[in-house]
Amino acid sequence: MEKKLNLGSGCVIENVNVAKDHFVMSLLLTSICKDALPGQFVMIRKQGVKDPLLSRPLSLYGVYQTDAGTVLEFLYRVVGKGTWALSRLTGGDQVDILGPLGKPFEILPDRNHVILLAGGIGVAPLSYFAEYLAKDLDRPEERGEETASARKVSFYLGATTAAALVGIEKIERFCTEVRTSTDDGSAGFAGTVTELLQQDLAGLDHRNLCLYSCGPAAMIRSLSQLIESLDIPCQVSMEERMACGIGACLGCSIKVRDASLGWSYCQVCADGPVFDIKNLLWE
Amino acid sequence: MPDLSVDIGGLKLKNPIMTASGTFGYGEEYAPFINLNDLGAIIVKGLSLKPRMGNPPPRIIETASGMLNAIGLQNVGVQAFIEKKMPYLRTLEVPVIANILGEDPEEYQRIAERLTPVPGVAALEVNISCPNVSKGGIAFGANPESAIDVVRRVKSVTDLPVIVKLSPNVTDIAMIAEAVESAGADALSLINTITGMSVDIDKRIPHLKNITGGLSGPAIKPIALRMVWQVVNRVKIPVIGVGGIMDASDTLEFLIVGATAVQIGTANFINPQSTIHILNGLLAYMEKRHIRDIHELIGTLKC
Repeated sequence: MEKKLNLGSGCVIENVNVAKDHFVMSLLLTSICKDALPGQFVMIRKQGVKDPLLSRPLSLYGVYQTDAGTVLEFLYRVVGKGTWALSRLTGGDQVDILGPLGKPFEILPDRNHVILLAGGIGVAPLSYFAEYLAKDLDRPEERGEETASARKVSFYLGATTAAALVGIEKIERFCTEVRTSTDDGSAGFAGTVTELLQQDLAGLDHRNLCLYSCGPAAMIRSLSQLIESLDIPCQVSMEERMACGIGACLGCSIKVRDASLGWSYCQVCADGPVFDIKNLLWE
Repeated sequence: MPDLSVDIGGLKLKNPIMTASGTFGYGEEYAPFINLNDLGAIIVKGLSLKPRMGNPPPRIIETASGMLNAIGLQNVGVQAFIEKKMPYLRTLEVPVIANILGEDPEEYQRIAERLTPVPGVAALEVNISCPNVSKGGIAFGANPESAIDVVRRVKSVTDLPVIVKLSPNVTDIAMIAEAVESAGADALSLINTITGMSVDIDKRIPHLKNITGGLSGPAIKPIALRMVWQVVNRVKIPVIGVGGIMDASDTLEFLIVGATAVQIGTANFINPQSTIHILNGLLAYMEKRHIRDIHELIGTLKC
């Protein structure tokens, strides 16, 4: 029987309110998540607390190795009871962690211009991915080297308004360029982030591009329409409410193409959360 | 070590801790977290004759001390279960119970026929109580005549122990229990989820696409316990308690009112090792009180 125990506890280092309804929490773990990759997530809950009942899925915003253990970072937005309870945690609080869970983003070595497209809180997993790429963690031989094969990483971040553009400082540290948009025009391009990308795509060599995205369903949907006829690989990280996180409850289903049946439901937790955008089906 | 073994209608279990259908996948999902052989039995996700896609999302929402689900019996179908899931389950040394659901009484019979000769299937749990499918499920569990029809048909084609899972969404669960017993059921499990609803007040839409769903978790435990107590007083066959069991003390409450075994459901979602924590807690309780056999606990409610 395969034993891959990824159940453990963590200690809150800090939990900082970085913008309205947005928090960055860091945890110290000593037993698990050492090899957690961008795109993966954990199920998290305060230890010993029965309300909220279910753990909450949070994608990874950063993973660091320290002498004391593995430090996990999460950037999350308070949307309901579960995330509100997480936002109340303070340094020293203990949490239960199940993870890392799910499939990570797949890196395509022959595509040297990486575009990360995030809407709102979708910035979290893509920021960790940007950092991972900038540090060449997937190719140790080139770590710290300025080589001809160096990747270009462009981050497109959209939000409703300037105040909701969260996490830009981190992105700026790790990306070659940062493009922002707001629905109300209060910062960056006035319009949606997919409209901004559409403008820029015209001037780019598509053969060298690969896209990664995370954000609201409407954004992913317009992205899928935008690149439908284009030959650009695109992976998206999807979000659904989850109970178990390990493919047992079948609560987090999304509709995908299925070769034999036409379509079927996949579990975001176990089959994703990262999917090829061309496999997603929309109602 | 205390003797925890129980007999469920001819099925011998080394301990009374089983997994509730629909909360434990096909077993393998939990192999990284526990030694599956430590369980009393594994009850797998409900099986239909043909594969079922399940309901459109959103399918779940947390509510006060519980959760609503409307999965809609997404499952691989009986054939794929036999071919793809049983080979793994057969390698375990734990009884595997197949939960079955048909759209009509004939379909229950056909699924039972298919599963009976399959090596490794130790018993059948007949689901006449799923609240989230339009055909079948609770339609047969809500009145005694149709419940009797389904159970007789299943019994006519199988020599495996037949457990019938009852719905709480009825006026008199004990009456349904008696009817099912008279039709030849070897054991009963109760309760399935309680139908419920939750609304998003910003969008003024139901939180579940299916509008209604089945409530599970600690919120339903007092109801489940009351129903088990009512039913054990009316039938002779063993009763398996299900509903909001989160820890060993919840388990003990069910045993004391008269359940011979229990099923752990929603607790598996909160901690994938819940079943083993419960088993250890049960053992500790018995050892502390020098109880040598679990039958010294079952049905010992004083009132």
